[in-house]
Amino acid sequence: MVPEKELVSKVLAGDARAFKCLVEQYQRLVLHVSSRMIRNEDDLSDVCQEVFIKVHKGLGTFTFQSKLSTWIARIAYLTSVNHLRKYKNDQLNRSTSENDELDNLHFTEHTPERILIRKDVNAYVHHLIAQLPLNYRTVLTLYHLQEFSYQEIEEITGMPEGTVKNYLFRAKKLLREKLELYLKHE
Amino acid sequence: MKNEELDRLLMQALKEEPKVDLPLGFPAMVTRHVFARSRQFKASVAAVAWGLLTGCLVFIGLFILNASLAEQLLRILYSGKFVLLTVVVAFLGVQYLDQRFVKLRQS
Repeated sequence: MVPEKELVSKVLAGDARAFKCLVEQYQRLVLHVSSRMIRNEDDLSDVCQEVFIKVHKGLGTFTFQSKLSTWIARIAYLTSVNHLRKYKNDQLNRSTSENDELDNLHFTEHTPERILIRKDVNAYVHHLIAQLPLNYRTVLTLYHLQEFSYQEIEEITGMPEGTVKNYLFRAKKLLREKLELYLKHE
Repeated sequence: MKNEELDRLLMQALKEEPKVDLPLGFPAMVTRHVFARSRQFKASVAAVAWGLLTGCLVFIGLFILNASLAEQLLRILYSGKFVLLTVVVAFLGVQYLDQRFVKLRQS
């Protein structure tokens, strides 16, 4: 893994190989952040490309006050949110609305997909996560999958630290309850 | 089932990467997309510079072989200096505007 500063200075000097290396290094991060928000795979690929174009364009303004990964994750988050706003009537992305009501959330249980994933705990949890409201999905991904701190998640999403903690706590509690029921029935 | 076991299963699931992937060769594709335009512009500038340099070398060669013919050529070129200059400036201008338009569309 190339050090951040070296990579950034090479990209700024116009080194295409360094930029390719940067994309290779951060493509999983961008994919994970965006895929939790955008369902359509074609759109997802376009959004990821747009994120890296913005990264290239804005790299000159990056001041190293935060980690490069935090800065890129913020661009990925904002680009995905903008994409959702732009195509909010799109059927494929409709379930990614910014509705934060977790209490009234109704999970689909008896779908063919649910039957297929019956024996797979991980798939079941991912099936549940996919149905959570947008902000819950985002903080779960950033905290557990990308291992960002609360402060970094605040920087990325703009949500206050308390809200991030609250979303994480509530989402995990709900997932735990659902998983407990699921394992009892299996 | 014990609480610890339940937590372990949940953590394991939360740490598992989603089953989505980007197209094969995505980094190369993005890099090409980002650098292709600026490379094209630089290549155009280089082409103009090489053209001018080659022209100068041909002229020097001609001057060595036949000075009066070279002088005649220079006079013809000088009379059409504005036309030549306009062609070069227009070519580079189109390339520059193309760059600006693409960048504007991307932002």
